Amino acid sequence: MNKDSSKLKNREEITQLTIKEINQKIKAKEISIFEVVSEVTNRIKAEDQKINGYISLYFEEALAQAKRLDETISNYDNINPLYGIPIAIKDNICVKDKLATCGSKILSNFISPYDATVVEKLKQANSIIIGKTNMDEFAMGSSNETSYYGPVANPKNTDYVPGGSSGGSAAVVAYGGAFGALGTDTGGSVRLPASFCGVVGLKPTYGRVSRYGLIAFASSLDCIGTLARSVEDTAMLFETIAGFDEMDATSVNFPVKKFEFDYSLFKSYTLGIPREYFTEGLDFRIAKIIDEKIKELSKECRAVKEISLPNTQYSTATYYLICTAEASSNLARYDGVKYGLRISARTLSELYELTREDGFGQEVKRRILIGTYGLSKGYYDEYYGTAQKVRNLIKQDFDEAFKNCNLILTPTAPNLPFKLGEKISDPLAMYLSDVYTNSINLAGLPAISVPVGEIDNLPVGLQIIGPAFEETHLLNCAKMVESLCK
Amino acid sequence: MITPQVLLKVAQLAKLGLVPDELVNLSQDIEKIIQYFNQIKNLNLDKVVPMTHAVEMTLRLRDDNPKLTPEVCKYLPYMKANYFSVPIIL
Repeated sequence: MNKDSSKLKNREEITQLTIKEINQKIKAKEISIFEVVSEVTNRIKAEDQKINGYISLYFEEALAQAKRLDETISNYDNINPLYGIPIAIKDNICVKDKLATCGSKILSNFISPYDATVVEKLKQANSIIIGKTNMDEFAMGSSNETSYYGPVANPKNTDYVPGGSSGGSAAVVAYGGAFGALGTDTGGSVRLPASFCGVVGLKPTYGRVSRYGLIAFASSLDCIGTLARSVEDTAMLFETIAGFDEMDATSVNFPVKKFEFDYSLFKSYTLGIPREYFTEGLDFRIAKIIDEKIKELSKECRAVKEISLPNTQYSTATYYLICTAEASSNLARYDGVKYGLRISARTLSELYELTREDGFGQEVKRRILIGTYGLSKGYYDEYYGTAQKVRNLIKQDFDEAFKNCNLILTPTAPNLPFKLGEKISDPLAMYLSDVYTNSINLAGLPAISVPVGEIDNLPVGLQIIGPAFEETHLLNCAKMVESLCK
Repeated sequence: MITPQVLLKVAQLAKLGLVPDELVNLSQDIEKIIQYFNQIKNLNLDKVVPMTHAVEMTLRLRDDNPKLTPEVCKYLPYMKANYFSVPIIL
């Protein structure tokens, strides 16, 4: 099959290439899809025991599909960018006839009878679903330590967390267990693990990507996003999964532009730097890296100016009040009656309580209780109602800011990846890990995390925030950042 | 104040069983978290409209046509003769 196998001396290197590079090699007949998938499966076998990034793997099917795809290529020049590319799917997104555990015991036996729209689109593009990735239980966590299937380790240093909740997706992309992955971002769950694992993570505008087939956590905040090793790969994945879907009532019909880097467009940008993100609490070493990168960008763009997002300090309280309220409602469906875990009981009420007691982990129980409390009689206005109003203030802050700048730049996280176990017994400290990302979900905006450096071999991410439906500008700026880092 | 007694009542509303240790530990955690949330209670929000969705949109509704196809039913382990079996409720 190989026209020139010698060009790929170290087969393991294949798994470190980008989607674009693999696509070029397939087109040039330097490598077959079967070889690509074989190398990825070998990489997973070698690495995943220590990383624990996958919950389910489909090696046999993936290799069979690869063989079929190799055999059916009629014109190598015309194969699409994701043709034959192994992609991983977070385990809260449904793949037909496969387990969808959501990282929980309560869904440990749940098999989806249908494909999520995003999965259908990836399948239509002939990408290969290689497996389902580990995650914080029901996407509730910032470290990927709340999964029923055990914690995920950071491939950069296995003593550290990969970030959450899409920690499995970020980790497998980082170590070469997939070329790209889907994750979900409710308060930073794509961007934080992307930052911690040194990959690119995109959270699209709310409504941009269909959520049909996504297991709901907090419906006014949940977004499906992408994890990849380059900005161009991110664009390819995003363009494949984005678009209107009548099966999702919150899907927005807004055209998706094809991304191409435009330097002259970048030169026209005014970049906003919110002063509230560069205060006490930000690791000074991260601040230094971000400052340096902003200085470099300032030489290329129209202007960099300080802006203010004055209600940033209230975003974490607001976010956790809203997401727990929505979660307590969404997770009411897991009661042992229709599917998932069932604990035998004498009465129906006991069946609900025992099933949920045994099936949910501590963090999920904590959030269901907080959400139920915040929605209960006598507390609804005080907590949930107040949070909805502050959410509006946070959204207005962004609206005002975008009158003075095109894009907003911040660190993705205030701290470096922390050690496994370091914050798990202090939920409030864990919640504050999302402090730079959750306001973006409250406002429904798109944002991307791009790796910009390392401290003690642990990655640092830069977050770029854009106005609603302006993903193209995010990608354009991210590409500029990426090129400055090379 | 989130005491174990208050939390027990909330757990009953959520149909969530908790063992005694969990009740104590979770009530301490949640008390601390609620204290943190209280910072937004003192804001002047008289003229602020609550926001329910991030993007202005009109929710579209489809016809509700429930269909229990064999494809769906094959993954419903507690289904018997097109019904979900549960403990006796009367």
